[in-house]
Amino acid sequence: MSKDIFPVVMPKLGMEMTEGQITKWHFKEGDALNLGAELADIETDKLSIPYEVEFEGNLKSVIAEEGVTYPVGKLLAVIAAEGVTDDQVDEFVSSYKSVEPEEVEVAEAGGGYGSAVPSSSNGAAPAQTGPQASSVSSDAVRTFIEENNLNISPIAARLAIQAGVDLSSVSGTGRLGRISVANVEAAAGGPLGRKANRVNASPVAKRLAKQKGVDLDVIQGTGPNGRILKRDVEGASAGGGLASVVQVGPARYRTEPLSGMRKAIARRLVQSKTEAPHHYLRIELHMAELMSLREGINKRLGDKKVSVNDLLVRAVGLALRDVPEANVQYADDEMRFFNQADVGVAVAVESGLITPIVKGACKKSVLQISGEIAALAEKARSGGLLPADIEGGTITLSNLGMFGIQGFDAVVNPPQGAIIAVGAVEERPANVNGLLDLAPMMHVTMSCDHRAIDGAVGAKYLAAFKDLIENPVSLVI
Amino acid sequence: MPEKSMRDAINECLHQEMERDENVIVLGEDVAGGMGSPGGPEAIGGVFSLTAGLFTKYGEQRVIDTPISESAIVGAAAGAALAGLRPVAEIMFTDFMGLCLDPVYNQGAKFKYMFGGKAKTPMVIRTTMGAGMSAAAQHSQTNYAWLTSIPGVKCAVPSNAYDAKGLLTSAIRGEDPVMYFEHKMLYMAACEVPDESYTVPFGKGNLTREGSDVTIVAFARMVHLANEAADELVAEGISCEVIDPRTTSPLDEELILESVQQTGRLVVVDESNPRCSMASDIAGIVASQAFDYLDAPIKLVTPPHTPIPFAPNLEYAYLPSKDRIKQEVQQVMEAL
Repeated sequence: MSKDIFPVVMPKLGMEMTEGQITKWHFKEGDALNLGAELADIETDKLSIPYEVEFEGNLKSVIAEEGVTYPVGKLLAVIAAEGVTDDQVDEFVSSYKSVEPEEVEVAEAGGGYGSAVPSSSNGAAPAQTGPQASSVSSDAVRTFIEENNLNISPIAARLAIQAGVDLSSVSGTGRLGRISVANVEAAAGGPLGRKANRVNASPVAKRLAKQKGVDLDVIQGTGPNGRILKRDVEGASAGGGLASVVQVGPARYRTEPLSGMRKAIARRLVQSKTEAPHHYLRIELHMAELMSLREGINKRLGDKKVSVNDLLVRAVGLALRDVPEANVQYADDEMRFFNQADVGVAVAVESGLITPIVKGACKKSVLQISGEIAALAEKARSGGLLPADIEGGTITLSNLGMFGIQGFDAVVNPPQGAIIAVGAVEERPANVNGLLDLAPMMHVTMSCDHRAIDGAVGAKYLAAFKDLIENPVSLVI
Repeated sequence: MPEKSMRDAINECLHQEMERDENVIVLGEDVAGGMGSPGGPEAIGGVFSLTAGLFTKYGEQRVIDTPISESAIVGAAAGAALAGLRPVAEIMFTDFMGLCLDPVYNQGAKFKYMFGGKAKTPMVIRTTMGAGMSAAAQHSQTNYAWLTSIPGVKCAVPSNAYDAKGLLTSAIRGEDPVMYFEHKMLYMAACEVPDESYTVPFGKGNLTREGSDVTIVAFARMVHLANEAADELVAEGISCEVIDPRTTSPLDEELILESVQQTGRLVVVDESNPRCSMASDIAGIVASQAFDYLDAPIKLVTPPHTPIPFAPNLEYAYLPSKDRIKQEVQQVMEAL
């Protein structure tokens, strides 16, 4: 029967994808589906792409709800051939076992969880008759632990499933080598479950707040670990007598659930800033030569235009070729050295920021790079980026010059080794042939992950970059 | 997988460990089961039948029927362990531990430390505990808390047949003195138990229910009451997480703290008297290490600080019940 029934599961669209959501179903139950039809839009934390029908038949059961995040491998819907009955579909759904996204490294066979436990002193029903109060059922947790042969606290496992934390590189430091909640939280980059949103207040502060009608959410605690104490609540109810009081009364803001992209930005940048020790190298570049080169190119091109950014991407790539020790990633406790220069380009889109990769930027002409960036940016804005467009890269170029920003420090996009932040090209006082004069200048800050790129390597890289920008003919030969 | 009662699971474990390792011996009062009776050994099968079949199979060299002297039993076990055997001693009721505490408390628990780590004491003391059958104040106690308080002694309080077999196997194969408590009211409780040998590690608790509002920690027979309370509270919209620590020493503090940090509420159910108990111990651990995660006072469901009554109605009132657990859970849900 199963060859007549096809499960639609949350696909794994990239190495790091652990969960995704259906943003829209384009068909409803009962609709006939042709091969290749766009069944639904799937949004991961990085991109949004359509799910194309791989099995011709009727959409029999839609299980996943729009806007809810599901782990990779989770059954989302069922397609069945003609003649399959609803009962058969129901049976398929109820017996379907979600496929785990990937093999997870085994720490140690546990034996800590899942032993048979009778639920009454008569020894009658087994444990699975219990309540399934959390959003992940105890059966799912048990299956997850058993199938992956993990030595993990069942609470940690539940939270890892809920938050879609990849456990493949998490090692257990809990009791008897068990993966603890603390280990999972370290991998997730912050507290999980209820701990994530807890208001930390002492019991007396809570009681006082209730009596006085003070909203604890808006009070900054002054106690240990930010605990809200009695004095903080008293200060708040006294009308803002304490500096710790931010606001009392109804919140003056609206809330929106976090999009996948917003969550990804938050998670990855917190990870970067907490795990990757950043150091910053700053230089200022003379841009006169590059500006005149660009003017010359654009005159020749006619309709097409090459931007300063296109030239900068080319220079970032060529400098990686010249200083290969900067063409690195640091990840999973290993260094990765790359042969070709893949350069990320930060593109602002409506809901956030995405960094598609220009592959082999040192081997492509400025014109090719220009065309590629335009195409990638267009795909980014329309939500059409593919996983391959955004994976990899060792360095990203982030340019806020068009907004008039003089210079800034960017956060490394892990596992890349560095990010280059450039500001606007402006006429500024500068040393021009030994005289103080106005000249087109540009600030550059290179943020390096010190685990991957030391100061001297970064400085060598920036020197190569500076040389390419200030003698830009090398960008076009 | 076959279902077995806790009695059968423990008996099976003893058979398998004696088969596996000839250094394993069993000693205690009437472990031969009927010695001295008209039928001779195995005629009756021991007071609780836990050692049935061992005498016939392994003989009097390894299944030693002792005089009625608890201090002789445990003293011999401690000495045998020092000399390289793996004794499994039986003290018929844990209420009698007062008679033989010295070989456990001041000898077995200390050998490793007094002899620079050169001496090992792989001794297991199996004993029965628990009220509920009107056996009165001298045959019904659950005194695992005071044995837990002795560094150097491990303590197991299995709540089901699966854990009972796995924990006893770990205890016999381990290198330290172990107090192994069998709740008399659970001997007939059955669940799936593999035929082959396996171990359940000491110090790893088990979640028997998963929930998000209240953490209930319970031991031995209390685990079943906690599970039943949790199941009924679902109808009231209260989601309980039930933890069975399985061993009180070492104690899986980590799992308890992880759970409380998620639920914010703790109820501990302990059949022992309340003073200096596992309940007060766990309350202290959570109050000091997870204070910032608590949303309600910690509640303890224990008997009163009094000897166990003989009269069935009084004994029933004395023991923690499913309804008392539910009441305490409801209270912590109402608390601020």
